[in-house]
Amino acid sequence: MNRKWICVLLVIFLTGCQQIYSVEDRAIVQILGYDYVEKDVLKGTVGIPQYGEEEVRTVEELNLTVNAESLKDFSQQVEKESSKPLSMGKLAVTLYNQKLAESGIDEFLDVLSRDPRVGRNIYLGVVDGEVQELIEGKYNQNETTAKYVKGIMENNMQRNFPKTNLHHFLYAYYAEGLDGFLPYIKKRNSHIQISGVALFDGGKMVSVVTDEDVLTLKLLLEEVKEGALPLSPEMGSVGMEITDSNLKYEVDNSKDIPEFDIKVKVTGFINEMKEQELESTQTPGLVNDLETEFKNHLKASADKMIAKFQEDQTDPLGLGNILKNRRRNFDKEKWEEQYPEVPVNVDVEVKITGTGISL
Amino acid sequence: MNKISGKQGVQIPEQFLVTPMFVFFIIHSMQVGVGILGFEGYIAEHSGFDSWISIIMAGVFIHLLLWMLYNILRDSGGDIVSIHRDVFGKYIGGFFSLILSIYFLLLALTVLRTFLEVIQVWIFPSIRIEFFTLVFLMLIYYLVIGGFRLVTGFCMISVILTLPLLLLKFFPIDVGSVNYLYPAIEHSLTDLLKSAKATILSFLGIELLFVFYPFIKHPQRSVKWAHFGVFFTVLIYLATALVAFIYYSEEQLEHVTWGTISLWKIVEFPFIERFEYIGIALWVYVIVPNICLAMWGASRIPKRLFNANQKLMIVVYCAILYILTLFLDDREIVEKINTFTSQVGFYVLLYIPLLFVITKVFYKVRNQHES
Amino acid sequence: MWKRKRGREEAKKEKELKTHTEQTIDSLFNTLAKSNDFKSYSAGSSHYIVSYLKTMCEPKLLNQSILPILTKYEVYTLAELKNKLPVEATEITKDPAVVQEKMMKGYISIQLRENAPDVLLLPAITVEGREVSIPEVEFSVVGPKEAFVESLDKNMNLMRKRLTLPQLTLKEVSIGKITKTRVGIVYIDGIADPDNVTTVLQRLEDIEYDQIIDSSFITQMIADNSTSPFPQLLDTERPDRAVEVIVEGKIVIIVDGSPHVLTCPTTIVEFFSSSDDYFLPWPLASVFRLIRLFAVFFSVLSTSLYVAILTYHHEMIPEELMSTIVSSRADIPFPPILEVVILELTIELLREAGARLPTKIGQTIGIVGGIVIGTAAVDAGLTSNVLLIIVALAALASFTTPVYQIGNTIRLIRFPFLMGAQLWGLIGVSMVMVFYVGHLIKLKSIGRPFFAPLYPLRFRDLRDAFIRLPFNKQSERPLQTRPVDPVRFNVRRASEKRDVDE
Repeated sequence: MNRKWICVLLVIFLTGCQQIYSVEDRAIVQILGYDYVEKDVLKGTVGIPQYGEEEVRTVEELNLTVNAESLKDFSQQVEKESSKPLSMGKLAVTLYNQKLAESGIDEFLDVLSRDPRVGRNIYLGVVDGEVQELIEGKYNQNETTAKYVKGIMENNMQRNFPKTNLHHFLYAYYAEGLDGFLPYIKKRNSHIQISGVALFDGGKMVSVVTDEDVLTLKLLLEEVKEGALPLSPEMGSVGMEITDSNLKYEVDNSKDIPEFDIKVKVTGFINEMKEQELESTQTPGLVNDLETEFKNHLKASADKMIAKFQEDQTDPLGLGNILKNRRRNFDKEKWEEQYPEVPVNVDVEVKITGTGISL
Repeated sequence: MNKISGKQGVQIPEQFLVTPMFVFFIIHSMQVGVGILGFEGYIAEHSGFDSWISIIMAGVFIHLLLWMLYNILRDSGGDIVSIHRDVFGKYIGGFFSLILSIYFLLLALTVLRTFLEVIQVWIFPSIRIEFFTLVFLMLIYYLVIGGFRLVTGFCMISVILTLPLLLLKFFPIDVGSVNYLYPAIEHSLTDLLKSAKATILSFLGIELLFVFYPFIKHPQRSVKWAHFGVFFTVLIYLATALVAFIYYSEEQLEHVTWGTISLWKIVEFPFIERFEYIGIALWVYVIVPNICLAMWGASRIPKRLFNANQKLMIVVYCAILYILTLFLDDREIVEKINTFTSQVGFYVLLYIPLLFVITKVFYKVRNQHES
Repeated sequence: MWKRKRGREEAKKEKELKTHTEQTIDSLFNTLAKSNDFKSYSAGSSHYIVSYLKTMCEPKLLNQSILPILTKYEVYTLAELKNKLPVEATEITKDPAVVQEKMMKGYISIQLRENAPDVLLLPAITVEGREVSIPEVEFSVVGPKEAFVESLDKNMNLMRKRLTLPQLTLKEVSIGKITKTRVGIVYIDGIADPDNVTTVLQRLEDIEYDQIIDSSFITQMIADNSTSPFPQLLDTERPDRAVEVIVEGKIVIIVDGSPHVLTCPTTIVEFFSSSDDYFLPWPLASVFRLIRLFAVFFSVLSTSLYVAILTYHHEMIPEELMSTIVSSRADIPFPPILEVVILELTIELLREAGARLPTKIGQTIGIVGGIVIGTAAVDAGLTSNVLLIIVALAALASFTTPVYQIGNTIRLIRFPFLMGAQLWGLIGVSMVMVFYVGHLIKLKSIGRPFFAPLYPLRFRDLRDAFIRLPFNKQSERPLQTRPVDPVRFNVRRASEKRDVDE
C-alpha cells in the first residue's frame, strides 16, 4: 500500500521536472517559403500568426526572413530570431520560388516527408516572383497570408484546378513513370492569383501549363464534379458548367511501343451564352453544334498539352505508371526513351444536358 | 509432485475458465500487435503491390498450423509442458518448454520496445523512457496478476475499442488513386514466398494456444472461433495492405516506415485533425493485451514446470523486460530485435508441424502399448 | 477485508458474551433506572411491578388495555395474567438477554414482585418516524412517487404491497455490537440464486462493527473490494426499483434506520440506468441512455483531453479553433494543468458547499459560485473561458448519472486522468483508462463479475445495458443473477403476429 503511494508521489514530482511548452508558448509556423539567392544560399521566410486579445480577435502575422546555406542551418537561424520555440506542426503552405524549383526541391521534400510533425494535407506551390514579397504582403485585415493562400488553393482545387498537395506530390515523386505538379501562383498588386500548373520532372520544375489548359489537365487526371469551361467560338462566348466527367485509360500493350487511349466523357449544362448568331437555343442542332465545338476545343487542348509533356519529358498523367502496372518486366529506362514518341489518342465526348431555365 | 500424468496437473478450476468464444479475441489480439502499423513496407519489399497474394498465402499457412496445433493438443489433452514431458522426458522436455517461455518474453520485449519507438518517433522525441517503461510495466503487472480471465477480458475490450479505427480507412481510399492499381501478377513465386514469409511474422501469436488451451471450457468447441480469429486477422491485414497500396505508390512504400500511422495523418474532423495522435494513444489498447498475454504465457510455463510462484515470475520477467528496454535504446537495435524475433518466431512456427508429426507417432505407439 | 477483521475480533466477541451471561434481570433494571425515561412502579391489586421505557411505549395501550386488567383481576401466576390480557404476542421469559432486547424496543415488562425471575413482556411499541414521502435523490417525472423511509417494517410493507407473492422472503439478522441494527435481506425464493443468498447472508453475519447507522455502512463492509472507488452494491430509495430487481432475481438488503436499500449483485451498467428508462417508450429510453453514457465519458475525459492536447498535441487543433483557443489562453499565467486543477477544485468546492446547505441557500451558492467566480476568474485572467465552458459542461454531465453514488466516483476518477494527461498526453490518458478497465474487469459484486454484460460478454444482458430494447424482447432474466428460473414470460404468446385485417 505504501509503495503505491510513493509511486504516485514520484509521478507527481517528476511531472514538474519536464520543460513543457503549451500551445500559446509556441511559435506556430503556418507558411514557409524559400527563395533562391545564389548557389548554395537560400532565403527562407516563415509566417507565424500572432493571435490578438480576445475581444478584438485580430490575427497578425509575424514574418521572419533569414539567409541560410542549408535547411538545417535555416531552422537554426530562424530560431535565433524567434522569442518562442518554433513548431512546424500546423504548417499549411510551403512555397518555392521558381528559380529554386527549377534547380530542384528534393532536399525540401525529404525534410517534409521525414518530419512526423508535419501533416500530409499541406499545400505546396511554386511562386512566380519572390516568395518573401508574397508572404510579407498584406492582403486582408483578418486573414493571415497562410490562410489566404491555403484558401485560394482549396477553393480552386474544388473546381477547375487539379488536386495536389504534399501527399499527391510525394506519391508522384517516388513513383516510377509519374511526375508531380504544383500550383503556380504569383502576387498581383494586393492579391494572389493562381496562374497555372508547374510541371516537374522528379524534383525539378520543367514547364508551366497555362491557365486555359488547366481544366483540360484536370479532366485528364480525375473525375470532375464541378467546374466551368468557357469557350469563345465564332458565334459568341459560351460557358459550360461541368457536372460530371468520366475518365478511362486504355493501353494497347501488344506492340513494342505501347499505345494509349484516353477516353474522357464530360457532362454539363450551358449557363452562359452571349450574342449567339442563332436566335433560339431550342434548335436541337445548336446543342449538337455546341457539343462538337466543346469536344474539338478540349481535344485540341489535350493534344497540344500532351505533345508538350512529351517534349519536356514530364509525365503528370502517369502513363508510365499505368503501363508498368499492366506489363510484366517494365523497363524504366526503355520507357523513358520511348516516351516522347508514344502515341496518345485522346477521345473526348461532350454531353450537354440542359441550357438553364431561361431560353 | 504428482507429475506422472500430465492431465492431472492441468486441471483448471471452473471459475478460471473462459468460454470458447473468447478464443477468437485472444488469438486475434495476440496476432495484431505493433507490426500492423508498419508492415506494408516490409512485405512490399519483395513483391510490390502483388504482396496481397502473399498475405493470403501466409494466412492459409497459419490456418494449417492452427489445425495442427489443435490436433496436437486434442491428442494430449494437456498443455505444452505436459506434451514436452510426455514426448521428450522430464529434462529435455522441460528445457524446450523453458525456451518457449523465453520466446514469449522475447515477443513481449519486441512489442514493448517497438511501441516505445513509435512513441519516441511520433509523439515524444525526448520522453524519459526509463520512467515511462516503469509505469507501463507496473500497469502490465497489475493486469497480469489478475489472471487469465482478466487478460482475456482485456483482449475483448481491445478488439471492440480498436475496431472503429478501421472506419478511418475511408479517408485514404477517398484520396488515393485506384487508377494505378491493376491486378497483374508480375512477380515470381519465389518473390511471393519471400513476402509471405515476411507476412507470417506479423501473424505470430497462435503458439500461445499451447499454454492457454487448458483454460478453455470445452476446448475442442473453440476450434472454429480460433480459425475465425485467424481469418479476421488475415482480413484486417489484407484490408490494411490494400488501403496502403491505394494510398502510396509502389516505390513510395519503401520510404515509409510506419505506413498505417502516416495514413492517419490525413484524417480530419471539424473539431480534431491529425488523427495519428489519437490512433497511437488508442494503440495502447492493442499493445497492452498483447504484452499481457505474452507475459502471462511466459510466466505460466515456469509455474507448470517447477511449481514456481507465478506472481514472483511476473515480477522477475517484468524486471528483465525493464532492464532490457533500457539497454536497447537505439533505432537500429530495435530494428535488429524485430528481425531477430521474426527469425525465432519463424522457427517456432516451423516447430509446430514437427511436433505434430512427433506427437502423432508418439501417442499412436503409446496407445498400442496400452491396448 | 472483512475476512481479516473477523479473525482479529473473534476473541473480543467471546469476552462480550461472558458479560452477557453474568447479567441478571435485576442488574438490567438497575442499569436502566439510571435513565430518567425508565419507569418502574407497582400497580394493581396484586402489586405487580410494571416497568418500561416511557419514550418507547404507547401510553394508550398501557392505560386502556393493561392497567385496567391489572386492577380488576387478582392473579398469582404470570401465565394466568397472560391469558387475561387482551394483548397479542406476549411472552414469559427468564432470560435477561431477551428481556433487554425486547424492553429496549418498547415492550412493557410485568413481574409478580420485585426481583422475581419470571417476566411477562407485552409489546407496546411506538416508533417515531417519517411518513412515506416522494423520492428526492432519484426523482422521476412519471412513475411511482413513493420513497423508502427509515423503518424496515414500513419499507418491507412498501415492497410487499407491490409484490404479493408468498415466495417473497425476508431474512433478518441483527448487526452491530452496540446498535443491534436489524438488517434484512429480501429475495424471491425460486428465482434468486441460493448461492447469492448464502453469500450475502454469510457476509452480513461476518460483519464486526459496533454501529450500523446507514445502509452505506453495509455497502462498504460487504463489498468485494473496499478500496475501489466504484460502489459494488447499488443503493436505491425507490420501492418500485427495488421490486423490479427482486423480480429479476437479485437480492435486496434493507437496513432499519436507512431510507436506502441495497441491491446486489449489480453491474456497472446498472448505475447508469434510471427508472425513467422503463417509463418511456424504448427508442426514447435508449437514446437518453446513450446520451447519459456519453455525458459520463465527457465528464471524465474532457478536461484531461484539454490538458493533453494543449500541452503536447497542439497539432490536433484545427486552424479555425486555434485562434479561439490561443487568444483565450494568451494571458493566462498558468500552464493548462494548473488552470484545470484550479477550476476543477473550484467546482468541487461549490459542490461540497452546496451539498449540505438547505435548498434555498444552496441554490444561491450555486449561482454566486457559478456566475460570479467563473466570470471573475476569466476577467482576472486566471483561467481561459474555453476551459470554463468545458469544466462547467463536465460538471453538468456528471449530474446526469441517475445513481448518486456513481456520481461521486466520477468526480474522483477525473483526477488520475488529469495526471496521466499532464505526464504523457493522450498516451497517459489511455494508460489511466487501461488501468480502470482492468480494475473494472477485476471487480466483483457478491462474487459475480461487476463489468458483466461487457465481460463476460452476455448478449442476453446487453439488451438492457446501453440501450433498452422493448419489453417483449426481454423474455429472460439477466444472466448476471444466475436466476433459478430464467424465463420471464412466454415469448411465443407475447409476440404472436396477426395478419393484415384479422
